[in-house]
Amino acid sequence: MPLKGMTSCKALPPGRFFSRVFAAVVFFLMLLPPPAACAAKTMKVVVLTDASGLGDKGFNDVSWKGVQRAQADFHLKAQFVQSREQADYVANLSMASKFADIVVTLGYLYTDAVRQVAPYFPDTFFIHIEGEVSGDHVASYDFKSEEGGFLAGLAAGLFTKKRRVGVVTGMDIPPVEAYVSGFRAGVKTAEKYRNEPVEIIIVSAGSFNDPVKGKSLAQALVARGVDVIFRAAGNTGVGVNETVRNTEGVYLIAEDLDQDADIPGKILASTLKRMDVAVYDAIRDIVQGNFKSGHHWLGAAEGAMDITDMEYSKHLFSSNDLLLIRNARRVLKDGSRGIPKRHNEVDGFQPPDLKAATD
Amino acid sequence: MNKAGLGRRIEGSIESLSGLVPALVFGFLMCALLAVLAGVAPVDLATTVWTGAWGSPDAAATTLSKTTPLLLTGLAVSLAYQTNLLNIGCEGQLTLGALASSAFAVAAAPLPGLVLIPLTMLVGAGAGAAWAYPAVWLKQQRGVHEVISTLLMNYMAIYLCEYLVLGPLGDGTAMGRTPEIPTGAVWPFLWRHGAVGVTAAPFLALLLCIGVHLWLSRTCWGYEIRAVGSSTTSSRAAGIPVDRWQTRLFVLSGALAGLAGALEVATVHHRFYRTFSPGYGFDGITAAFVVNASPGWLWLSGLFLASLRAADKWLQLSLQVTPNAIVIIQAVLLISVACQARFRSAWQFMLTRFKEVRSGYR
Repeated sequence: MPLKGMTSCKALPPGRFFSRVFAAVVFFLMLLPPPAACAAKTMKVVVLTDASGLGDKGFNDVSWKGVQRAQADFHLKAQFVQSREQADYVANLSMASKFADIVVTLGYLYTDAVRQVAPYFPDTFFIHIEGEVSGDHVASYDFKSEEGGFLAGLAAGLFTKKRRVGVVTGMDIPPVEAYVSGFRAGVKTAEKYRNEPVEIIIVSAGSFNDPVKGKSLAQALVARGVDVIFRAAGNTGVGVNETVRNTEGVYLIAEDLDQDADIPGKILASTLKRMDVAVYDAIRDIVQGNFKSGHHWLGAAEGAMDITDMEYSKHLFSSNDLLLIRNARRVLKDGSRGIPKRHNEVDGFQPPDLKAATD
Repeated sequence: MNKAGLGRRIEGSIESLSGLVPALVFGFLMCALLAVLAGVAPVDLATTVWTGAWGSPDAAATTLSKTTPLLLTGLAVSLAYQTNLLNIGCEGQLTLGALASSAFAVAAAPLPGLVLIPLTMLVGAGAGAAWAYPAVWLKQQRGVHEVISTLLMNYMAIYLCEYLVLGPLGDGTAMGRTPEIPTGAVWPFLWRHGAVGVTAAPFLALLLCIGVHLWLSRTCWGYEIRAVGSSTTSSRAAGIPVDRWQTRLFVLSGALAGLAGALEVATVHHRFYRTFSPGYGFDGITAAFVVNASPGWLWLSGLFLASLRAADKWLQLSLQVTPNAIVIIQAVLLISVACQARFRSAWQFMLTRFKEVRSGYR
């Protein structure tokens, strides 16, 4: 005898009914976020950049290189997040700190955000590049950019035919000020060996992420008769490269990353700021369990600040100039020479004796 | 309300949504298509945006905080648009409002918070209003189109602020920022988790939107304003002071944009930074026109755009999508909404056919 209740189901045979339920379940499962892919615990690293992001041929790219090397060597999962606006720094950093085991923040502009956020995440390691942050799970690194600037200034000052060199900066934050002061000290040293004055024109784009402005500022410098340009401008500097590439008789000294091969022969040299080494070493220390917190100053003596070997531009310099630059690199490696960090220290700077440094 | 009146009202609102809704659906489909082309499943994209924006209490707080400038600049654009004026100058008004309010807060530091906070907001709004007024004056006296004048005044404002903040109003560093505003001028968090939290600002912005909506839809003045919006010529013939309304609303629009800037200073940055705005003023145009410049619906577009923006970090982390993807999504939606007349005429065509068929049966 059929049950009374069965009559109401006659429209749907059981097979159809279950296939519909199944379809509905599958549909809702698709809406759910995918389950965590791997059970084995790999350490997660998140790198935060400001609005310029990767591809700046400088600061961010160099640091990211170090992270990638660490990722390959220690089987980490590394990702980067680019913040689109200043209001995002604290929010993105909080999110990353919750998500990752190691957070790497790139750039002076992040300093305040790290100071605010780090205390709330005692179980996350923070590696901050440029700017001092304290905390026993925070390691911050600053670079003696003035030493790189000094070498750049020396090379530019010795090279210039028109006795006029230019600098394009991004924002005049302390690390950039150090670069520029070092550059001025380097030019001053070059003046001593040339026995003639060299004029320096410094212009600022007001942004690390404005290649168009970088390009027009470089063109303005060329119009003022500059024949060597030093850039300390992040992604803005990409525009400076453009101008140098397209202008006859104008040469560039790039910053942070070895870019000599990008425009062979027109990039005299690149200063090398080894953020990659600092980041790699810090991650290695965390993985191996001997993290060194605190603030670290890295310079030429630590192998963190240098200039390239000028592979493509050697022939443009006299052998005497090359010797001076080589000696300057050695002098800096031997220890601090009091290269000025701030603009107001440049006037009191005494050029070191580079001839005396023995080969 | 009698039955026929209700029916007419429902038909009217269907009529007004008949363009917008299909346009938005079309826009979302286009975004889904783009996602597929970029190798991302649309469902993943949607869930990621949802998780990134509302998945945890602090994510929700971040999203809400991001809603404030979008709502206010969106309201600024919608308000001016009620009288057929397009205020493209919100970015400049916002920047100037932010700088003015932060400079004022620094200068008036000794005042108690209860006085300082409202005064700071007023100064910001006043600066925005003052920057909006010349545009509408030029329009009425000299026939200069307000789109041109407000657009160009953006750049004047931005570079003026840049000059001021690097010089007389700056904090002495070369960072392009003012000194930090006194704690008395900072809006306290209503709720906080770690370093993120939410202040009363988004709720204030929401209230303002609702208030403006009621003002426009329920009052005599609102009626006059809407009349100006539908036809300036016939309003003028009916004795409505068109010019006066345009001036008032345009100045009010500038004030709202300035207020948006002042709120960003008082709730997020606690000082003016030269680069603080990623284009909030221009995003206000998107926020306004995605919902047909109607203040009553701004909460929807404001929350939606803020969710997208807040989720951009999560898009990068879990889908490896560039954060610029959200700018593309915004643009696609806006363009589809701009094409809504097309969708509406298609709807009306279908509706008339339907009525014909139905009356044919009778």
